[in-house]
This record gives sequence, structure tokens and C-alpha cells, in this order.
Amino acid sequence: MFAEVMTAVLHGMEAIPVTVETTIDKGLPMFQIVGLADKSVNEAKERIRSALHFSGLEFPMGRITVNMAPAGIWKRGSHFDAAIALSILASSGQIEPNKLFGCCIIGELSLDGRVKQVGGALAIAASMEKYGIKKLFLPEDNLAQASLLNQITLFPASSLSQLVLHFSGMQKILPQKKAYVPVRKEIVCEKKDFRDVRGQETAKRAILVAAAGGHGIFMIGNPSAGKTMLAERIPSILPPMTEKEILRASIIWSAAGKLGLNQVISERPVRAPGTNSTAAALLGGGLHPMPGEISLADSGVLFLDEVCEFSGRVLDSLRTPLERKEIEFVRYGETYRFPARFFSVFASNPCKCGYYGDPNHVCTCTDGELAHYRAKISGAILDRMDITISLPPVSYDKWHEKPGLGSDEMKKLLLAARAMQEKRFHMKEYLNGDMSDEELDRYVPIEGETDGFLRNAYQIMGLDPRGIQKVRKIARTIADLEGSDDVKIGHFAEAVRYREDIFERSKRKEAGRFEI
Amino acid sequence: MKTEMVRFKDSGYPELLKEIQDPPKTLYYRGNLLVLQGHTLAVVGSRKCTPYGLRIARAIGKRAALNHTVLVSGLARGIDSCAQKACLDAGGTVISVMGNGLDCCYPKEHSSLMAEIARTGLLLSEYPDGTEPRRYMFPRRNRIISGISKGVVVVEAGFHSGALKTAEFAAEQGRSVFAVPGNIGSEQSLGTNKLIQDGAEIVTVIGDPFSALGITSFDDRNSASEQTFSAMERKILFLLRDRGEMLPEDIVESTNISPETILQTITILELKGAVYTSSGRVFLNLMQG
Repeated sequence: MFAEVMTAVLHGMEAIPVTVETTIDKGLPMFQIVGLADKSVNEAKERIRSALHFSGLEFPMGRITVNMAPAGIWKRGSHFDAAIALSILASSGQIEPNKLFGCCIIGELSLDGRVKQVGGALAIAASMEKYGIKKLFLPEDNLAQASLLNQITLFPASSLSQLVLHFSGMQKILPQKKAYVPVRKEIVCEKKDFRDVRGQETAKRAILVAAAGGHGIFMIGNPSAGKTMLAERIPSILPPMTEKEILRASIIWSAAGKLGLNQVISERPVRAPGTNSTAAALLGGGLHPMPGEISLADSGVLFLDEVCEFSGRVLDSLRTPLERKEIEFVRYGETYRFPARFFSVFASNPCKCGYYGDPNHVCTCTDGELAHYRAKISGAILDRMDITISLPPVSYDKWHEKPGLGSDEMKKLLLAARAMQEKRFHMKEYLNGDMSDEELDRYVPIEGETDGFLRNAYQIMGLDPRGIQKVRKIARTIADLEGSDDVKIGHFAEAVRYREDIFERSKRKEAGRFEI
Repeated sequence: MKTEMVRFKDSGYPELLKEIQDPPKTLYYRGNLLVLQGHTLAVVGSRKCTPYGLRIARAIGKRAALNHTVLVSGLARGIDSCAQKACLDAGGTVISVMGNGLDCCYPKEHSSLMAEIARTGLLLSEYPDGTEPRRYMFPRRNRIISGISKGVVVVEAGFHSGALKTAEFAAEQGRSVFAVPGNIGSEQSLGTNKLIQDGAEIVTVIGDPFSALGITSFDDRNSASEQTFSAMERKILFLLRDRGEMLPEDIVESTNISPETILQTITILELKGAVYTSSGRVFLNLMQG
């Protein structure tokens, strides 16, 4: 008998419905799977054979042919086991074929017939929902993740026998949803407070402005300045993830196979890849494209410490995702897209030895080393970062002093600024840093005294047109933090400080008289 | 631009240079040889300088331009090129003495600076076109820097800085040597402080080297003290006057005012010309004296 069972194959972040077709003919016993199935799928044969035996079911004697359609797409993964097994059972008359209609089935089988959890379950479920499929049978252990979805009915299965009882009408599996558990701590840094950071009040302010408006921030400082301390506290002032963000981030992690048992990404991730990360690890890709660090950082923070130590090519390839907020790969004519909406935090030493400009240490870099290092910092990176600050070294006295601004206060200010942006753009995820030139003209017009101010800044402080645009965006965020509808000169004056050319590369003319 | 040549016996050869021990027999040049006739002041210092040194170099460079003094230096990173740039920006004339052939530019990142000096001032070398820079050529070059100048100002020099060699040559050649003092703790001022200890003239205000050489000092009509400042701006200016240079973070701490207000005020002060920022630090704009 001919039998058909629906399952799915993961293709980047999305899944494509796959039909498992089975026929069993008379003849010498043989079991063949066709349809570009790779090794992991072919090994299903052994698992299915054993699972059927353990479940007290009959493994049909005959020529079994299983075709996985569409036959032209590569099938990878171990989650096809359950579907193939049911397909064989249907084809051999042990369950009724038409009962399987409209149901998508995923699950790996253990040798003793249990249904084991699979990677990518949520990603698959989300795609199936988009395709309009109403019923998904999935491993019990994947239920919590898939429960994030609302338009698809989930049926958890723990064993092959359970599935058989359901599809033979003898004992129905009830549709269910399951609550997720908060994500484990290694993925996200422990909630730390900015209060712990001493003697860096200007840096905290810069970070607040950066985070409030979605402006990438670049911190330059000596080894002792506390760049890492500051970066890892950023999640403590960010708003909670929206449902849309939780779903998107969880799907990305699911597609990467990184979602653990009953987990979803409900806390903003902080990814801090090391300097010897390959392009594939950082950006994603590979032969069968998987999300990289930039996508795992979606809705969270991407922290590149010692950014100058990264390979120049790798840094350069960050340009596109930084602008488009997504990254694309093409393999054999197929396009794979992964979101990459992260908040960038880059950090670097001022030079190779780390002590240039430090009054307490001697910089041991040669001229060549200094020039080479600075060349790396410039260009690709500085252009993409809206805010650049230099962190002073922290002396013992400062370190010992009273604590300054804490995360609670900063978060309150940030949330207020975010509320203003939501009112402005009617979208929760669109921030001042994303504004196009037209939006800038609409929301941060240059007129009257601000025109005079910017003109002076342009001439005296060596700002270029691109710099001016960034100053306007930052000024809008500073005004939002103050609760002001208008962007005033004081806001621009502060914003200009964040575009400081720390390495003095632009030519500056002497300041003249400037009446405000 | 083509490299020209002037020999010891030729009329264009700088008189001052003829006085020194072992003057170069031939000088190669690009630009205007006549600028050697003006008041020449050499400004040198180490490549690895601090923001303080850069600030002084800038101020001297600018003052040289305003006093119609020709600034002499090498094209090195740090103090030398900083003083030269500041002088050019203020409309002054610069002579740059190179330790290589004038068709090579070393260091490479100063090629546009070199071109501008050739256009408005003078490039000099005792080596013909095609000579690549070599280590031993630089100390030799330094004797020419002091040789064509009436005086030498060492802005900032560590213990082993090549600028000290220039000071040594200057002393041998009978030129005036000036040194800018630095803090005791600063390694980059060890050399300059020692020079002062050994008898170099101390620079207490920017105008000192100029007045010592008999060059009329510039009357700064745009002195920052004539502008009006708000209470907040004055607060910061007073702090800077006492401390010299500060980080914005230090200002926040000393005044207990919010970072955003401090940052705003710094920008306004910078646009008014009262302060200058560099490497994240804030300095008073030194145009007094």
C-alpha cells in the first residue's frame, strides 16, 4: 500500500514540509530511502527496525521503498525517524493511512521505541505554522519551546507506541502546551549592576545614551579601565524582551541547535566571541548555513572585546549585517537569511601594549606598531559605531570611592526614552539609531540656532557630513532621555562629544569667537 | 616638484649653517630657499609624546606663525609634525629637514604635510634623491635642524629621545636652547627637565623663546579672557587653570555635576576657543604670554 506522512526539513532558519512516501512490494527484504537523504537519515533504518520490535510491532518483510519528497532537497537530521516509522506502519496496514492526513510529525527514535528530543524543533514548528499546518506531533521534551507558537496545535509524544495508539484511534494524545523554564545562566551573564563600576560616570552616561537609542558604542581604554565590566552590565538596563523578540531569538537558537531542554531565549543574550573566531563562527554560514554569533546575539548584545585583534576581513564582513540587521548566504542557488538585530559594543586598547596616553605607564609601542594599530581601528569599525568614548584609567582612589549611577536609575531613564521612540516610530524595535536621512530631517530638523551650532562644529571640530548625521541621531536620543520633544543646542553639544576623534585623524582649525 | 641643489659656495646656502662644524657640502631642497633668511626657530621633541607635549607643540607652532617666525623641524611623528601642522594651519612658514632623499617620504603618513611644506616653505636634505632613510642619518640630520636655526625649543623628550641630540648640537653650535618643563612624574619629560637642570633656558609661557630671541611678541587680541562665560563654564575653566589638563571624568568628580552637563559645557567652551580637547582630555587654550 502506498502511504504518505508529512514531516519537515530544516533549511537555515526555516523548514520546508517534507512528504515521506512509502511503498512495500513483494520480494526479497530490502529497505531503501531515497530523496537526497544523507547519512544521518539513512541510519534511521536501524533505529526504526529496533524501535518497531521493542514496541511490539511488526517490521514488514518485503521491498520497502521510502521516498522523501521534494526529492531535490537535501534531507539532513535525525528527526525524520518517527515519520518514516509511521509511514512504514501505514504502508503495511498496521495503522490506517488516512488518519495521518494534515499532521506533521517530527521525532528521533531510540532503539527501544522512545521518541527523543530533536534540535531545531521550534524553528520547524514556526515554519509549519506559517505554511498553515494545523497539527504537529513532536517529542515531549520539545513541547515547551514550541509552546511559544499560537496558531499550531501541539501533540507531545514520548514513544512510538503512543503514536501508534493515537493513529489507530485507540488512545488519543491530547493537545498540550507547556511553560518554558528561564534560560540557563551561561547563555546570559548574571544580572550585574552598574553601581559596581566606580569612577566611570561619563562612560555610564555614554552607554545609557547608546543603549537608549540603539547607537553602536566603541570604547577605547587601557586594560584596567573596566571595559568588560561595563559591557556585561548592559543587559541590566535594557527593557524585557517582547514576545516577538523572544520568538525570533528562540527560533534562531533552535535552528542553531542550541536550545536546551524546555528552554527559550527569554533574557537578552550577550555574545562575546573571542578574537580568533572564524568568519563562519562569527557571521554564520558553513556548507549548510547555520546562524553565527551575530544572529545568536539577536535582540541582545554583541560584545567584541579587543576588536583590533580580529582579522581585518572578518571585521569588514560585519559591515553589511550591521547596516541591514540581517545576513544572507547563498548555497547552490538557495538563499538563507538570518536576522542579526543586535546592539553593538566594541572595545579596544588605545594601542598594542595598551598604555598609550596613560600617565602612569610607559607606552612600549614602536611608531610602526602604533600606526598599524590605529589603522585597524579606523575605517570599517569607527564608521559603523555611532558613539566613541575613551575610558580613563581608574586610579586606586577612584576605585575605592562611593558608587555612582546604578542600573535602576539608568533603566528608568532608558525606558522613558524608549517610550518616546515608540510613540515616534509606532514600532517597538525601531530606534533613533535606525533613522533614515528623511526621518532625521523630520524628527531632528536643523534650523535657527542649531544650524549655527552645527556649522561651527563642522568647521572647528572637524566633523564631516556623515558625522553630522550621527550627531543628530544621538542628540535626538539625548533629548528623549530628558523627556524633551525638541532637540536643543545642549543636546547637540553633548552628542558632539561622542564623535570625538580620539586619534586626531581629522584636521582641526583653531576655534574662533562663537557667540551662542 | 623637482629637487634643486645648492652647494656650500653658492649664494643661496644658509649663512647660519656655514658656521657649524662639518656643514654639508651640498644641500638638496624643494621649495623656496629664501625662507632661510627669516627668523628661524627649531621646535623638536620625542615621537612618543603625551597630550601635554602635543598641546605645547601646537601652541608654539601657531605662535611662530603669528610672530612671522619660520618654524624648523623634522617630519617625525609626535612633536615635530604637530608643531609643523599647527604652524601651517595658522598661515605660517615651515622648513622641514629630512634624513632621506626628498623624493622619498618618511614617514609615509606625512606625505600631504610634506607636500604642503614644499609648496609654501622649504624641504631640506643633505642626501640626494633616491636615498632611503636609514637610522644613522637622523642624528646627522639633527645638526642641520639646529644649524639653520637661531634657537631650538625642546618641547618634550624622554631620557633617550633623539631631540636631546639636537639640543646637544645646538649647544655646540652656540644656539640658544629652550626646554619646556614637565611634571616630575612624567617619563616623557625626564629629558627636557634634565636639559633645564644642565642650563637650557626654561619656557614658562609660550612667548619665552620668541622674546629671548628678540622677536616681537604677539598681542593676542582674541584672548579667551575677553569672552563672557556662564557660571558653569567658568567653573570648569577655573578647574582647568589649576590642574592644566583634565579628563571629563575628573571634572565630573570634582564638581559633582552630571556627566551630560559637563560634556555639553566642554563642547561650548571648545567652540568658544577657550579650551581644547585631545585624546579625550580637556586643556585650557594656551594663548597667553
